[in-house]
Amino acid sequence: MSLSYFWLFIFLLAAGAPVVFALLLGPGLSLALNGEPVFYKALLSRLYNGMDSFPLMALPFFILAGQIMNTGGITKSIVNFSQSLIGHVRGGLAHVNICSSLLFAGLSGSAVADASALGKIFIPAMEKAGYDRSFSAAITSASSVIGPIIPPSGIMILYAFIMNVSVAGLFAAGLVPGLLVAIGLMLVTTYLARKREYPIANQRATWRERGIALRRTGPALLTPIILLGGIFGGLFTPTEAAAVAAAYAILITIFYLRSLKIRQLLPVFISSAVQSGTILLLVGASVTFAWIITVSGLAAIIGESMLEITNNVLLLLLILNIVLLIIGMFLDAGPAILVLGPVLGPMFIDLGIHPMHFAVVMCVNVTVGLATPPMGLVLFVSAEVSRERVETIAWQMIPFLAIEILVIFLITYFPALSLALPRILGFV
Amino acid sequence: MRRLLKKLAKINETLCVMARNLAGLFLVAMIVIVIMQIFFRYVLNDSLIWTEELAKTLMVWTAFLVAPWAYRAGANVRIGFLIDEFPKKFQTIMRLILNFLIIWIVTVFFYESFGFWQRGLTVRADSLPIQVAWFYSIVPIAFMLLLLTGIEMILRNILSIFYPAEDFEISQVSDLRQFE
Repeated sequence: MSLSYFWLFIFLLAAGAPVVFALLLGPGLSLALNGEPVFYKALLSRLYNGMDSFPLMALPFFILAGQIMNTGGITKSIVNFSQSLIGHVRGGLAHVNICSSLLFAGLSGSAVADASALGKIFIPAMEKAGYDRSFSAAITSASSVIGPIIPPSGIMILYAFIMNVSVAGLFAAGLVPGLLVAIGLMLVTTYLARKREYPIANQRATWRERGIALRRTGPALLTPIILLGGIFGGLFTPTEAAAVAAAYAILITIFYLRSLKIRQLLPVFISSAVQSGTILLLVGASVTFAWIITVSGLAAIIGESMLEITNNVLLLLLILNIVLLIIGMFLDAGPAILVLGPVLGPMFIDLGIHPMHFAVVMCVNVTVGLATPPMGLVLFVSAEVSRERVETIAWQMIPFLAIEILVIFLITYFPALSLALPRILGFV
Repeated sequence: MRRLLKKLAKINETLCVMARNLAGLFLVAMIVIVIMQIFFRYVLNDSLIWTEELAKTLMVWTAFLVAPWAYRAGANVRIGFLIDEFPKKFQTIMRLILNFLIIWIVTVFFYESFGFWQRGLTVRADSLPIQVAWFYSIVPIAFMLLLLTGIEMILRNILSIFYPAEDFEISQVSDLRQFE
């Protein structure tokens, strides 16, 4: 089988075709040109069966849970709580932003959702407190990347599905890298806040005030505990845990916070279904594409040509990260994982890289790609919320991106950072 | 041609929105089914066997039901920054070509979906007392709707090329793109 499908795919992407159709058209056209239309039957059944998976169902449930928390004001209560914890240090609001992203990451698995929810609160608030608007947008973009690294994570569900690794294990592996990103961002913020004399937002909150903030946000913060406790403890599958999280989010917004009325739920359900449905079809199309990749031997061809450059694993990992970062500038994390996982994974796993370690490196890398210009969904969202130009925000992001890339290399060359926790929990 | 577009747009709008809203209800049904599965296993100590298969099928249906609306509203992920640099006219012609390619692949799959459905008649579902063909019945419906939508998009592109002063594109901007 020729590789024409791959070039067709790239061409269609560049021409602005929706990724889902490019994934189907690449192989489809190539089969037509080579006169092999008998394979269409197989393409269609793979499209259907590619989506027909129970573990994949965690994705729509987590999307719904995240949307309910956003519309239901849970985000706001998390921000208030973070504010009461660290609002009093220099550059306080910037730290509160990172801290909120970290807490929010345990509830939602989406960087774009984090950026839009937190951006709407933080960018105006930080500007009022005397920060540059572009800096506020930059810190929001940089910190929302933590969302899909800390479990739950939509990107990890996609990776686990297409590459057949355990979702629960991958969730466990993301915890430490996510914390490292948060710590790194806070260190950079501390330095910048001193150098640029960023304001101190407010007085240290009393423990009583913290208690009040915690009472409001407490039930929401229980979500990660229920989720991760349930998954790591073997009570639920990740899909069941996601369903519980969504149901729990509905219950607390309607009955505890009373911030959402039942009839307001319907639009949330529909918009979650749209988001989920479009990704699921993308997954189905990617399974079709991944099958063609296997049949055509593309993974082996790329593997061989990379091995011709060098057979030093450490060097190959460096190349991998650079290639992924470049691709991440142009391609969304979801499609990047679905298309590149099957292309690049087999080679590194053959070279002796642990499948779970490779998974974490790849997931964290493409997630950071969400915040890199020129194509970064997260960047677009914060540009939209802040009404700043993407270039201006990108400029302010340089120190934050630098630290995130540093974290990528840390987890690449110290596998224990990601593998220790899943080992302790018995997933690998 | 304008009249045709107007009629077709109305039909598509109605059907696509209906399918999309149905998908929203299916999402709720999926949650209810999975929660039931947990409840029966832990509280009633009696695992239900049909829940997984039914929930999975509802999920696949959600994806197919949403697809026509997403195509119409431009809610699918795409890489725009390259093509957006070109002149407007070139962009419209490119969109026309892409839409032609899309309805070609959609037609291929629409045609294949009948054979797919028929093969499903010979296979029984794992846990429900029906043939899997009934699960598959969404496939021809979805591709039919995608085909109708594709024709509408092409009409819009052609009209835009001939009357560049007017705006024929669907104006609804989707705020539903966030998923990562």
